Amino acid sequence: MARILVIDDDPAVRLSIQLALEHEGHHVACASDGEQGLRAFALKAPELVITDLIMPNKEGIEAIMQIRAHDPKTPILAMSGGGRLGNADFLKMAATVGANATLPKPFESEDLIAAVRRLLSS
Amino acid sequence: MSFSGRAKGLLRRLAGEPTKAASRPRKAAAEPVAKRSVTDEAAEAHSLKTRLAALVQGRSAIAAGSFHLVGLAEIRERLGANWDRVRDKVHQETRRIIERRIGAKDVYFAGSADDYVLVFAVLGKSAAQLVCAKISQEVQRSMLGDSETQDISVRTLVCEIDGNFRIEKTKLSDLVAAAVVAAATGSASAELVWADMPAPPASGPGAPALPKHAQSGIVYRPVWDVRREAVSTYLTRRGPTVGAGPDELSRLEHEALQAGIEMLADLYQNQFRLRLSFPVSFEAIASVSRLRTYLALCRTIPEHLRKLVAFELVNLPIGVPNGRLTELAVALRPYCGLILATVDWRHADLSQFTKTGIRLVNAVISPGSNEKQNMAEMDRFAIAAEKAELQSAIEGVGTSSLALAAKAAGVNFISGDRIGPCVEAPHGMLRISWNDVYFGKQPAA
Repeated sequence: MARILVIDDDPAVRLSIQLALEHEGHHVACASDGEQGLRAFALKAPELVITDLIMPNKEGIEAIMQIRAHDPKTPILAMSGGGRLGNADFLKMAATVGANATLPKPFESEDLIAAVRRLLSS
Repeated sequence: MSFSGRAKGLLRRLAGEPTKAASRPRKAAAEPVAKRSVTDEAAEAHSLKTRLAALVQGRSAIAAGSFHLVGLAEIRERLGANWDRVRDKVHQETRRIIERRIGAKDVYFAGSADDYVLVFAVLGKSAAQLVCAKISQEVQRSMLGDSETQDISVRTLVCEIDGNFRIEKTKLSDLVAAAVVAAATGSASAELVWADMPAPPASGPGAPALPKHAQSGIVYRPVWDVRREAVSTYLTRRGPTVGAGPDELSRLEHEALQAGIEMLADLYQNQFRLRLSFPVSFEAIASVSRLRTYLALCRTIPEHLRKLVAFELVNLPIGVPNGRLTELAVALRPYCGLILATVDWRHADLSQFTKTGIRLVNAVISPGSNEKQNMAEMDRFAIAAEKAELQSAIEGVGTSSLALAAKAAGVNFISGDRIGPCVEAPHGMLRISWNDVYFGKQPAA
């Protein structure tokens, strides 16, 4: 079972992801924005990072870039609802800067679990 | 004096003392204090001073320049016998403006009867004083319909080396002069000045000596068109105008229009195409004679340049009628390609702009304000603009989080340091992709 860091500014999304992952037996740490996420990343040394993109106090793409500057290996799953205008641009950008996989919001917990399994097994 | 637990919490944090909770609401609720006698007020002022002294004693390094007082005495005097009738409304409006202007970590609370104490957690002394000055000006404009603020002073709690403290009173004119110098020399408070305040006298008696290149005080802020992925518009900006009355504002805006049109003509002749926006303060065209003078100047704009001119209505009082806006737009329309209005995004009823001839609304993000809250406001603002059949613009986008959020919210135009700093001369239209904006490729300064 893996240590997973979840970064999302929406507490409801954070909680639902946490519950789904804990149900799978993972240990989950949460952060509510990119800044907190980077601190938690340094402290918890997670084996997987799941991050939202549109967040205050350092958004997800910048957080991914900063993680990648120090750690090229830890898999990162980027997720985004993309606001009112769809998410294609932002998820593509996240992949460009180092996210290993992307997940458009909203998603089913099965999709999340499948993506997490893929990333952890690779 | 009302002094809530929330304010105490922040003060404990400022003082390095432990707090009970990791996160807490950002501001203290400040209720208007019931009317007091002169003796009560004097006693209360003394008590406030004693209390503040106790709070900052021995912590001058943290608290120096952090405590400021915003008073309503001048407004009370000008309202005279009407004060009692409108007092609650003035307090309500003051609290609303304070809440909009202060940052996420700042707090305020009611001091003596007609004073508010503002405690700034991040801003330096001069930047905090400017925020207080701006608050005073906005309260005055909102309640009295003018911004004759030359009598207004900002009071700051100053800690002395011996541990004692005093309340330092700084006139608005001195603050403005200092801010102009700061803006011109690029010091720390300049960002606040440029981003948030439209502009002071840059010349004339009492004006500070400025470096030659900044003597006009006029700069241009590039605006990114989200859909077209191009910087095609520049907003004319100056230093702060906190002490300027309608006549001075008129003079400054005439000067900006003349200088801008000359520049636009040069650029046009050299095959550069761009839109230049000029601020027009409501108070500077509110009277028929001032409007006539401004329109006379507009008539000198060459026909071929008019489609490249935009007029930006600023300082619109809350609730200005749709009919009045239409009149102004109709008057300005023959001389421009676009009329926009800069509004307070939290309180503006955007439906008042529908079918007035104003096609775009611009909202300014206060530097240092709460980013999460700004992102939520941005969403609401973009949706409200769309509903009112208006395009939306956000000024003051300084971080990638805000840029991302603005794009996601469907904002049509973005400006701020993320797009590019204010420049002394605008460029022609420049294609800049979203990736360029995000990864920091800015129009050459």
